[in-house]
Amino acid sequence: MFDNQTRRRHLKASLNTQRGVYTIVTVAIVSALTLIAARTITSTTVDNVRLTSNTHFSAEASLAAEAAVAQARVWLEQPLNDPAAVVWPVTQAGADVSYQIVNGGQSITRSYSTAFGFQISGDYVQIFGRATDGGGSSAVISEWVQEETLTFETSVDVPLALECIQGSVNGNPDIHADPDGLPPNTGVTLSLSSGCAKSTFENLNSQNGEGVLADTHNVGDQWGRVFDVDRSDFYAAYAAGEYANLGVYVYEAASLPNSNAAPDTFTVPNFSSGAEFQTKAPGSTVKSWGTPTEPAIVVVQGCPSLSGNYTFVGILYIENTVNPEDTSWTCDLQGMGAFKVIGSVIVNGTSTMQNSNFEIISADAADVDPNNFPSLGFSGVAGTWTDLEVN
Amino acid sequence: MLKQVIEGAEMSSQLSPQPLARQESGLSLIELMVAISIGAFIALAATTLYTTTVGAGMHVSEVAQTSERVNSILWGINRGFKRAGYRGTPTDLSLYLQSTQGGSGVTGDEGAFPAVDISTPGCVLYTYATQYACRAGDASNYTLCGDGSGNTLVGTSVPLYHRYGFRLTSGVMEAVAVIHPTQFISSPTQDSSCSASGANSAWSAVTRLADLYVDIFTAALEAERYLDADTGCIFGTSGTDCAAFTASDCGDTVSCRIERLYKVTLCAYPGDTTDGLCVPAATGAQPDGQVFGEIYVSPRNDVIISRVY
Repeated sequence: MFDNQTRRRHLKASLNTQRGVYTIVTVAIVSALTLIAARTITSTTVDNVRLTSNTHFSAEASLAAEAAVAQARVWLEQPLNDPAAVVWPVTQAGADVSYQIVNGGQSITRSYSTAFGFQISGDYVQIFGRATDGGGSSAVISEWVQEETLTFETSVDVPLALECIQGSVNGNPDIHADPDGLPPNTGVTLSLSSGCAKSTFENLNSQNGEGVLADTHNVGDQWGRVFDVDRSDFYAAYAAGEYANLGVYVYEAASLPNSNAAPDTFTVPNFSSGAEFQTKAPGSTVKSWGTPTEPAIVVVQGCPSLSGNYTFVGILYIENTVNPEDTSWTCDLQGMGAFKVIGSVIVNGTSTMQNSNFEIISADAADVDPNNFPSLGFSGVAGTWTDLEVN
Repeated sequence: MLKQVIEGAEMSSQLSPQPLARQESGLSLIELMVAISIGAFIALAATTLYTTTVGAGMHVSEVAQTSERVNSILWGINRGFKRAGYRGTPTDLSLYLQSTQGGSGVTGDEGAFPAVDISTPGCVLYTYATQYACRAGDASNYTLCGDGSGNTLVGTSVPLYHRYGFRLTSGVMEAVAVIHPTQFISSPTQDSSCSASGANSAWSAVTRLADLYVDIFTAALEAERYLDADTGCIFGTSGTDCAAFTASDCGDTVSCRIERLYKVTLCAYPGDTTDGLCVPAATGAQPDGQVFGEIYVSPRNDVIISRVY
């Protein structure tokens, strides 16, 4: 109906008549200002949230690192785990730790991977626990712990310790001594009080005919040489059940269970030293107190009757019921048959061993690690916790 | 009427193009008033939206900032408590305990570097060992940095006890982080005690009055437990020191371990420097933006008091 020129005129006229354009421009400017203000406020808030989040994540990572340390302590408690094999910064992976946050109905889970390693210094172990998440938050915590052992590592250095032996030894016992630096069966096998005559002790090894080197000690009561805990504390803790399931047994001599009722079973291995029992060849299954991987501590109050097929792995400690520290007591072990021990036998007094056919394989000759003896686990050393270690 | 005018204008416009001069005669008063009214309404709404948005945003931001400032201080205090009493390796600990133990039958004390000191109200001091790299001239400052012949072991990392702390001074939180004064061979040049003031003060402000007025800062010992350090046997839950307990309480013991729980309270508000406005309880008029924080914290390093029987 209209030509193009007319249309353009109308369009131009229409625009010129629309003075509401100022309103639109005003609204646009105000809106832009609002957007800028909102953006500024939003970014400030976001920054604040980010700061708060950083603090939160840092605390979260710290907690996760604490969890890593806790896992390390559980790992340490396992008899076959060796911290010397995981020396920091080499680490053992731990279980992931997750934290869930519910915000506005939405559930957010943040996971931290954990790892731990160790440094060893004497009786102490330093635990390092590390936690890391995908976003870069991480923390390292370290703490020293000490194993609460019941016995000293040196407690099994001597396979047989006695105050003295009464009379002559004329049975067929056999002792496989500590092989370190010496051929098997010719090392120090015996610990005796210095005032004890030693004329027939070589017969303690009469089974194989090797000689016996007897060492002497000057302290009568053997308890303090063997145990890392006071005698009274030991008995009190045992009575209170603190040693339950640790492989610690206390018996009065008369109530020592029959050998068939021994709590453990193991298969006699081929010991690297070549030592072996005369009556139990490698591969034989044996009922025992303790096993080579989890040795036991057996304390007998009074002189037990060990005739029969008794086997002990660890420490067999025999002392008098009354005045146990008095080593003038005599325990009659003669005619006790062929009881077998891997570890050490300590008689806190004088013994009669005539006609005994026992066999002892020292802990070292049997590859039994003294660190695997019963302990109360690891306890933290006060004053050694820090989160200032380098990640 | 208006509708008719508009409709008439549209109709005439559609029927036949009129000369531009007649069409560009401008708006009527009514049209102008309607346009202005609508524009004013929109502008008013936009302005209201703007001020509301900005105001609310700023308020949220202020609250968040105040909260963050208070939280960051509480986080720092919490971390300080946890670290307090760190004495290094077991060997370091053993050497320190030897220097602090009492004689036969006499209880020792915490020694020259007590883990936590809250004896001054409004001030908390922590002490723990931190590795320090010796610098030139440090042989005359710290014994550990010297080789015994007056030469400094430059670059050697040695464990030195450091003092860290927080205090409240006239509404401002201040912090300190220095090598412990007892660690110096002679007196340090800076004063890091709770009463330090003036140019020699080692304290630095960590809040600004313009941002935040810290009204309340307290630290109190809430609970403590005394144990035999060797066996873990519990002596008791209160006592002035380990001397209150003897070997007969827990068998043969040579040292005492103390677990402590502290309560820290912090209350602050922005925009007002009037003292004493904080109202911790939920009831009562609180100053705008008040943030009240309360934490319970137990040091991760227990105190050991060694004694000889």
